Amino acid sequence: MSKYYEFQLPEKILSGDGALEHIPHELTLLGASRPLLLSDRGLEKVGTVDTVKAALSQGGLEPAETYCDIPADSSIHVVNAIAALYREKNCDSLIAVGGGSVIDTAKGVGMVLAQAGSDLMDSAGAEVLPRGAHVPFVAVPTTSGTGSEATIVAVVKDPEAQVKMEFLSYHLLPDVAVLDPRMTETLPPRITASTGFDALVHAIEAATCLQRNPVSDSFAEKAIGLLCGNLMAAVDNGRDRKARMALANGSLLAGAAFSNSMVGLVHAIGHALGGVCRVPHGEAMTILLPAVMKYNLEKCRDRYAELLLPIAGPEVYAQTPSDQRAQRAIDTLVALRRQLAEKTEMPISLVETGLVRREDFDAVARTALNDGAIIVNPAEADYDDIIGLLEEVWA
Amino acid sequence: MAKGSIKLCFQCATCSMVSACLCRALKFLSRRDSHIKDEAARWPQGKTLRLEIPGARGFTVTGTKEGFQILPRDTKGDVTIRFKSPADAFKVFTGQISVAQAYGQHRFVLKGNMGLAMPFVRCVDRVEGYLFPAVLAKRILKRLPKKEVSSARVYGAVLLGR
Repeated sequence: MSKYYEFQLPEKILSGDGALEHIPHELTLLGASRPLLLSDRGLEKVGTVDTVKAALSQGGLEPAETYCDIPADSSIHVVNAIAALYREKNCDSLIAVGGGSVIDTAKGVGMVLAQAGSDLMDSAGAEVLPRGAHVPFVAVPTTSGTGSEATIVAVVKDPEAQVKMEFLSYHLLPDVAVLDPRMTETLPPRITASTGFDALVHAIEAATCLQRNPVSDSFAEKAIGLLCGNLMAAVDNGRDRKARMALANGSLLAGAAFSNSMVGLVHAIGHALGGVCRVPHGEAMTILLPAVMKYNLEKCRDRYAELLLPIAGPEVYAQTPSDQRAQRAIDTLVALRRQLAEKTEMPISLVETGLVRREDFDAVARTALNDGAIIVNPAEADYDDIIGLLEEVWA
Repeated sequence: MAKGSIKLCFQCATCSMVSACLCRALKFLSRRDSHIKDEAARWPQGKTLRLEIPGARGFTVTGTKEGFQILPRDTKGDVTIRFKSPADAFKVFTGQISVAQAYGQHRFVLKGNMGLAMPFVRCVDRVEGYLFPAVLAKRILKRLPKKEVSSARVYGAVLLGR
């Protein structure tokens, strides 16, 4: 355990049936009445944005403006454009309805507005920004993966540099995180599987990286249990509200855990695969997790052994000799991934993504080396190590 | 002088001294150690990194094909690493914790593109591998670097300011 740690708890959480309808009340408490609603075209098309708007209208609230042009890989230019729109329309708060890209974009917008700036790049760094003006912010996740509704981190692409920029500030936390089963029940099985695995990676890396602490461990272990215990049920039946809410809560807890103890090598390489080759984040996480766990095994053997309990449950844990628990934890995750891939055709190798060429390995490895996540990984990883891992997950 | 003040003065003086040694070692090794040389050569042209310690001497550095250059003390950094207190920097500069542990324990803040700080962190880890006794280095570094010059030569360069 780290000899010194800091932990920022998430702000208010609304979880369960009818959570959306409580947003107007929360905004009133925050002194806001003209929200800018942010989402993406896909969610607008499937009616998710309308569901949120209908819930807001029950509380007598209409968004001052709705912006649904946030792309899957949002960029600093999108953030800057939305900040300008917010000012133009005289908005006073943000509601982000979407996955990681939408919520992280909203965080970036909030940061630009709070600092009274016009360019997100002026706010780059870790823990360096003063609070600035308070921009009330409600996050409504529509995937159970990023946990962004509970993190102090925003990842936004710098398209010119082909790099995903990380912004870390305690002031990035949304004021309210809303987990409503209606938001995830139409999520297709493949995205349910890959985003669920993303959340699982958050929890596992949070539970094993250098910055882990007793509070993040509690969040991470509970998250692992919820995610491993319900991922298959949610993939089998997307309308299973109990499983959906378990995943949503698992994702939030994993987010709170990694927000404070950070993520490691899976994310460093995953960010690079996203930045260089446009591999979707959840898929990159799914592909990399077992290989990186094996890579970290010698440094994390005891911890992986402990994690077998939430990963596989008490029966398996008790039946497994203590010296075999770490490997069993990895094997259980590999089996879970295989089952999910069989049901959803989710890629489990780089070849299967159709997005990565071997010639890209050099750029991916160099980008991963400069990703902030690599610093807290328990085992050292240099250029050759990363190339070795990319080879391992190639096919 | 109060006990606390003496401790603070000692920590600040130590940090200033080690910071100067680190600069000299970094400069020397960026011409002798292939890994550090490579990091300096790949450094984005003209970009600067500044390390600040409250109450102690920091420095600003840039990388070139010829190696790392230490810039005049008042040069601003495109990226700035600022320790939160002299005690935090003292822990790193005396080998009690690594840079990675200091980051994990929130002992410094970083302003600017984190990606630019990472090559510097890797170089500091390697420099520590040369400067610190093996017992100490083994305790704080994730992996001991394979030395390409003897530590005695690095100490010599630090003492002679080359």
